[in-house]
Amino acid sequence: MSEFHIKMTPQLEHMLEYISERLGIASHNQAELLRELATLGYWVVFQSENGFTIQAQKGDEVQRLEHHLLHQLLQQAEEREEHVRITLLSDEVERLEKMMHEPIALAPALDGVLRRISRRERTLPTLQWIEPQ
Amino acid sequence: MSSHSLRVEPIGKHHRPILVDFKNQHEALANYPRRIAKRHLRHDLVGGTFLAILTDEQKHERVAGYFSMTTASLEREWSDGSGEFESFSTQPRFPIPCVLLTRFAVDVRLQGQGFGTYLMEEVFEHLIGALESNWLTSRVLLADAHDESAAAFFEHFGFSRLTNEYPVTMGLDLQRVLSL
Repeated sequence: MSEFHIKMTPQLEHMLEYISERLGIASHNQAELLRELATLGYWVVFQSENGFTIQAQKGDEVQRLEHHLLHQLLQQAEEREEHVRITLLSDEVERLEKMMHEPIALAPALDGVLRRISRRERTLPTLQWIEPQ
Repeated sequence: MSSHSLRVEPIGKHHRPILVDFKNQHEALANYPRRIAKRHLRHDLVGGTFLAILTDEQKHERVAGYFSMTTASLEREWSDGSGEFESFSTQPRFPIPCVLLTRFAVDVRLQGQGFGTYLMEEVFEHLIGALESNWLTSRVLLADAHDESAAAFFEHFGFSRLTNEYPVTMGLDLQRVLSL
């Protein structure tokens, strides 16, 4: 008996049956079921690895998917302060190119920031702790 | 209230008591410094999380905001899977070294009073110091905008939107900053 079959419990079997039935997958078509589960599972794990929580929403009701392994991934994503690689798609690369090749014109706000830094003229604004309405 | 003084310093365990009171409209941004203050983190001039701490006349300290930065690289997805560089003259050479502003948050009770701009000055001061000392190479400053108002805030400083979905990756060409 394979390890897979040993680990199967009636509850797991019921869950798989439920998924097959609801997704319209024939009960004998295990390859199809595995493909759909892998697609769904991959998306969930990928999002968690990138720091996204998974929620189900219906109107105002929100339920969050809680799973100890996903929780670990989320924590790791939050605490990752190491080198990050960001992959851009082709339309995003076009935006980057545009940004890097536009005629140089600093935004007035950035110009102000840089001027204050270089002249050591930074002033803390007058601040009040105001509770939001 | 103008007699506040402010200091910016790397986060540490000793900040835990004053982090309890930090409020932000995004739960994740409010909780992040509380969680990582439990651990010692690597800190250098750019990498890590920095707290902005306000002290009033009674020597009462409160966290007004914070930012986290790390080094990053921009890469492109190759549609043909070859991974080879296509030699269009206008295309930047990938990977592009960057600094990523992963988190930037102001306490909700101080928003709309110009403190965000002041905190951005801190970010640029850190960054320019690191770039001018030549131990860091970075062509682009990236920032993650968690909502539309954050995206508009970064755009105000000349950032461009590189991606569409939140958190939106915003980019600023640092060559403009350094050429001044």
